[in-house]
Amino acid sequence: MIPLNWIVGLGAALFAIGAVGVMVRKNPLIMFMAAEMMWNAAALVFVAYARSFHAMSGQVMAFIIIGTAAAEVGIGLAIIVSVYHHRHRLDIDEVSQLKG
Amino acid sequence: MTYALWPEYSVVIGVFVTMIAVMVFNRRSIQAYWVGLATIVVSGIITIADWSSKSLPVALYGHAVTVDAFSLVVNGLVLVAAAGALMIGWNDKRYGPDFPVLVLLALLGMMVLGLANNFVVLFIGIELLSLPLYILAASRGTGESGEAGLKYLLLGAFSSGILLFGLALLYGASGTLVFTHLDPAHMILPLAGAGLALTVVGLVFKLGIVPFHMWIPDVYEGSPLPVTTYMAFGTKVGAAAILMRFLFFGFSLDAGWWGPALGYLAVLTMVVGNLLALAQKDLKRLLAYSGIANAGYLLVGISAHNMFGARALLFYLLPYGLAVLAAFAVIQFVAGERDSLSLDDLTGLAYRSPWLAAFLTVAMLSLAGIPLTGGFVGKFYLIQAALFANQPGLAIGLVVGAMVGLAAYVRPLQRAFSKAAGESSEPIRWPVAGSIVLVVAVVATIGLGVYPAPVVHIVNHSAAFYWLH
Amino acid sequence: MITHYGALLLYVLVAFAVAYLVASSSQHAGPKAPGGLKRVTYESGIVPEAPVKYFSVRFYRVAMFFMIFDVAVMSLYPWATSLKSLHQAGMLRVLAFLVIVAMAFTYVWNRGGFQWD
Repeated sequence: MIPLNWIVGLGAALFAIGAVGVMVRKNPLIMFMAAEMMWNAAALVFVAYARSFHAMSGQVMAFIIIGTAAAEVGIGLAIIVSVYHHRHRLDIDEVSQLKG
Repeated sequence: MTYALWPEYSVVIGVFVTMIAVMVFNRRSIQAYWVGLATIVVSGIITIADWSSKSLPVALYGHAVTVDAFSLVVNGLVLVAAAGALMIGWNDKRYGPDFPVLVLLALLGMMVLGLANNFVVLFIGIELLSLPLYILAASRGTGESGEAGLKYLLLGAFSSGILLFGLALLYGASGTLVFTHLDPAHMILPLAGAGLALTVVGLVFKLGIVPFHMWIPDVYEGSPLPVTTYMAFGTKVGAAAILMRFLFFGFSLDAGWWGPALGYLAVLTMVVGNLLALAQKDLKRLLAYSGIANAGYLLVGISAHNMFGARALLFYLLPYGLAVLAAFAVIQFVAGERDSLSLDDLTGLAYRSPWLAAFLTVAMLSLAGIPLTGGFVGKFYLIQAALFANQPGLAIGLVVGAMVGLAAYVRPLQRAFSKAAGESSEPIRWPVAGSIVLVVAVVATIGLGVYPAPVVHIVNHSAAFYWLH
Repeated sequence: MITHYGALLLYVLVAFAVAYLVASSSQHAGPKAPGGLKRVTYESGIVPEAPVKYFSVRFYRVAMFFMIFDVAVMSLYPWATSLKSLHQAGMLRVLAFLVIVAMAFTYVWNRGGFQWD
């Protein structure tokens, strides 16, 4: 049986990789993927704790995270594709008509 | 049998009927707008009926949702926001046939945020609010609109990730998903502290507080005008409501964990937001920075952490939202076919259309907090709450922020009342639906400033209820 | 004793025969069109090493809709495993959920989300 702390540590590592990925990478697709990684790290931690508490509530949350992530990916890819159609390049530095 | 959740159920049914209307009347889908507006009205009537029912407050689905006076007030506010956005964008073909459906879906998310008492419901509310707004932000199909949608999406997904991880750690520290069952005294400390910090950062991201505000101006500027209105009003209501509900229900006795931090953020936000608003040349960006500063005012109500703070926050949301509705309606009229308006475009507005200039003046003065407008009363209650909480720093920050803000809001008015450089411009069209929003918002803003008693009564009832929970 | 194994042997033979028939039937019975797309690495809609301007959105759109509805329907599994203890109330809620999914499906269909061309 894998100790709980290892799983939570794995979740924290995934979360950190995702967070750094969003902040460092320039390609919206990769940034989006990194953000989804943060979500999945949270789902993993929820399931790990739910197992250790012998409770269902955390697993319900994980299910809902997965379902919502699917919807978010659908919308996200659609927006990214439509932006790509406008400028045929996909680089967050080039997508910067709006000064920010 | 309770009818507690029927405001939400009626919106679900309304979404279905609107979808059917879009499918049946494909191209010329003004029917969908009418169905959407009817849904909002019906949901509002049920909310008012719920207000007088004896069965509240009530906790449903194993304490997952709590319907009380607070959630009903939030319902009312977001219904006003949705009605305003729908009518400002009334039957405008530029935003595509799905516009009313998406507005109603985001409305449902905001209503869910008002009654959440559980991590699952909190998350569903946040996402139900965000997902339609991503699409709406990108719905114009132009380069800027797509860019705004992309930025909103990336930052939204990022902040939701932070929020979720914080919730996961809190779940690990406490073993429960329900806010009211969280027991900070018996939590594993580092885990609970990290979880609370991440959760608050995630929520504050959505609200647009200063270190996490950088996405707001870009998204507000690029999005279509009605959508920006909706974000500036509705999203702020939803995020403030859930932040308050989460902190006051879950961590009420341990205010030392979050109160001072939020207080510093509030002062920083009020000052920085208003200072940056001074430098803007685009009216939408100016209002975006004003939205950031106003989020800081709202945070004062939360970090004061007493009944007066809760009351002041709930009250302040209404004049802020009304001023936003009025200002954006004016921008929509003056901009016409375009999607943004620079300060220079306002030059000579008082001579082209005196009424529009007058309405813009009322909206701007209310945002700045001049007496006889609703914004003044709201700021007064916020300062009162900060003083009763024995936090004079918050009150001083609010006053300094408001004074800087006054300078920022006077600049567009100065342009509007100066003479244009000769060339005669085309007359401004007044769309019927937008005019109704504009007139109602302006009249209500002045009404709130002159005679705020009825709203204060409602808000008092709501906040007191909430505090005794 | 040995007769039992005989049944097994018969089963193995039938299994192999059916497998062969199924596998070879397309070669014998199907139409033959050598060349063209057959020589492409993936026949699933993406042309490998296409010119830079080519970007098949249709494929991604259908794939995204498939994924969303797939994950939505996946939520039925937890309900199915605890069907007995949820009784009629659980049944009604799942029906409501399915109505919502069906409504979304109809909407996507009507608005042309599944059109390939």
